[in-house]
Amino acid sequence: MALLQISEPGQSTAPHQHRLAVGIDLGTTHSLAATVRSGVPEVLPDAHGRYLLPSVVRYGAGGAPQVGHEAKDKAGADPLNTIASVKRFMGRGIDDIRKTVKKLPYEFVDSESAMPRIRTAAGDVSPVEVSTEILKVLKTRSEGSLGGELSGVVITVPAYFDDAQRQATRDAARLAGLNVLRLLNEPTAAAVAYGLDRGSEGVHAIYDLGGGTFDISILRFSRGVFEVLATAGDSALGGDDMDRVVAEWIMQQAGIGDDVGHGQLRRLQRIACDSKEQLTESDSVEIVADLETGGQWRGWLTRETFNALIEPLVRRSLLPCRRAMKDAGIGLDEIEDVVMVGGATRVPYVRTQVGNFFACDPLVDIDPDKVVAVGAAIQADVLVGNKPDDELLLLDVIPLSLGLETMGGLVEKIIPRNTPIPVAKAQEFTTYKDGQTAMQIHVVQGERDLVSDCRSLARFELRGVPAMNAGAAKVRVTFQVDADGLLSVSASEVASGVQSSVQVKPSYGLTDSEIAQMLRDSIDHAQDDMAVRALREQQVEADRSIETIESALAEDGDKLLDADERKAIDNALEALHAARIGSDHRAIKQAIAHLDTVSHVYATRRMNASIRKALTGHKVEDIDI
Amino acid sequence: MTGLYAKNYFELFDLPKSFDIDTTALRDRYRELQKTAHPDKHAAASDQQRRISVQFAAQINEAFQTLREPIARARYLLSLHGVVWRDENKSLNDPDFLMEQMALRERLEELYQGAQTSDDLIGILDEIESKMASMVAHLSRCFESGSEADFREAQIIVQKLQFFSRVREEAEEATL
Repeated sequence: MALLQISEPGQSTAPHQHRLAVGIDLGTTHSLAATVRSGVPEVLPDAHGRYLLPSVVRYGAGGAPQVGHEAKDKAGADPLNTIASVKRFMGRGIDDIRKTVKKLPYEFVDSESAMPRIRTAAGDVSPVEVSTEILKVLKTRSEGSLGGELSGVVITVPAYFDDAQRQATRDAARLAGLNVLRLLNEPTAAAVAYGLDRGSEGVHAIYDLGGGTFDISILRFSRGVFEVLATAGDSALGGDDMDRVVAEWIMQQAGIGDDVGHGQLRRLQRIACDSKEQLTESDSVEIVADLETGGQWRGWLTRETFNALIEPLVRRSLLPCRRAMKDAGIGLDEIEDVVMVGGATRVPYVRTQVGNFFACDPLVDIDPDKVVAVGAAIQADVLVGNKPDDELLLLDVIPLSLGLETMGGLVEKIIPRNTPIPVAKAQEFTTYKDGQTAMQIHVVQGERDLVSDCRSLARFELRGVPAMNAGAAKVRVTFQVDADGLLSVSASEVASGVQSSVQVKPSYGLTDSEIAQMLRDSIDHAQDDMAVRALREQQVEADRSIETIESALAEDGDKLLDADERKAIDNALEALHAARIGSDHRAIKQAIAHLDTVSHVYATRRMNASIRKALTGHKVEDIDI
Repeated sequence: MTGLYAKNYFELFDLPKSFDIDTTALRDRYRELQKTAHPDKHAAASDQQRRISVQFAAQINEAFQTLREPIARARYLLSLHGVVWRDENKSLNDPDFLMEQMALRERLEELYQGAQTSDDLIGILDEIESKMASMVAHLSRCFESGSEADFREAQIIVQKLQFFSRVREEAEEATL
């Protein structure tokens, strides 16, 4: 007699249906991956039992790049080919980089493209490609550890990352062959890791000082929903800056000039970083620096001096804290606690200053290096469908206002910062010349009034506007920001309904065709593999469409559809089933599109029905749609 | 609202179409609606369903943002009553109010320029807050009466509140 299979409530009885998913914290100084196994989140170690992968990539002549510890150890000896802290350059133009970094640590290639490239022994590489190498290592590590291909990943980004920085991160993941379920804001991920642990309802502050970025998020946790009320930050402030001021202090004390070589500078930064870490435990630390002229410099750095050196940096982090509180409309007395995230929050001075500011003891009981990856893993597990009945929901906001360039180089805001996402806003534009058939639109992100003070995200041209008298043609442009914080744009002419084509040219970052090219380059038998890939993609989407519609029909097809509608959907389903068996990816795509068209009204009705049910508790059959 | 069954934002949240609303109920229902509509709840579904979910979630967010904030809520309520908002800055014809605004801006400007103490700024902010609070109370009475004259009055109050709101935003920024 077969034994009865008994499982925990909410867990699948069929273990093979468990999909593999990981959360990845792609950090400035180090990166790591975590997963949920048997309901318990765990961080995945490498073969040597190490969890943290240094975010360092070394490009030697010939051979695959070295990533992680090996590369980090070579940074002093081979500084120009060893790329560290590349996150600081993600989604940035070369001019931005020059503004934030006093001395460029690598040889940047002069080129027309806004996307910076770094010259290495293995050729020129972009920050996106460097990040891809880090992600590939974590992908291999995760698949080795979990024993199979990953269904999807959640990758964390600083909450304060703008659209270009998010897009660059997504591109890096695409190039690494990862299916990104979601870009998740780092402080939100940390809140998930903490919140689920404690079930603490109320308003919390998350202070996240990483290697190169700073975020503050104010969020409310209530009945499984994390609602971000406001976020603020500084995407160029972190533990790296502490290392830099300490390195500068050593140079000053040791009489080392600004013309110091790249190798020496990297060694000094390493010493500075080690000293910073030791000062968490000790009151003072001895520093020994080899001089390029031969000889050595020895000196002591006390915690007091260190605190004085980093004081301006810590103070800089408190301004965004005040702004986030103001935007959230929350008073200090309403904050339950402040959660400390990121390696730099180990510094005692940071803890006391933040504790003073929020007037409470900072929470430090989850390893600040791991908490973000753990939160991402929990969300990945839910998104991939392993916990269908989970209550967890993260409601996030857009960190920086989106605006359009208007006359005189001024910005007109269309979506203010801290608006909940997803969000869609439509704006109408008109022609100013008779017969005009195209319009230029420039999208920027930032809080300032002048276009030149904001980040340029994209410029695009609306073409195919019907020729009319000036002011007669009205083009409605819709800006949509999805749950990842990524912008997309669509446009149509209001009177004629003509859909204008939108060519978005990202001001920084890669165009879709560049990515396609890179993907082709990375695959040996380009043609065959691309075709196989395209077919596979369509098959996956076909299965998803079939599964979605069939389970919907079984649930409420009889209630929400009349006979004709039902017939049309059944026919389209049958056609898709037939195409799915074949090997023509175009035919599958077409069949999916047809099913989409005939079932659109039904899908909308279903969503409406479930929304009404959510509020009223009525059963679907009670509702007239 | 494209796709959504509700005719207006109030109906969406199952709230009476009035200026005074139960903000706790609004927030609770907002969360319940997003638990159903948010794209993360449809991550494993077809492209079509995910697209619809993004649209719905965006509209729910828009509705929530509009109703939770009194000025936006009043504007919305008035537009449901047929008020068309256009180029508002010019249409406010109230010299006394404009003089008062200018005086307020001058006082703030002096504080921004000079060696202001944050206490002075906070003092002015408190003043602005209490003015706005009494205007919101006035708005509430106008909406309650619902007469044509009161709707016109409400429209003017909303415009004035917008002035104050901009000044408050600047002053708050200066206190950071």
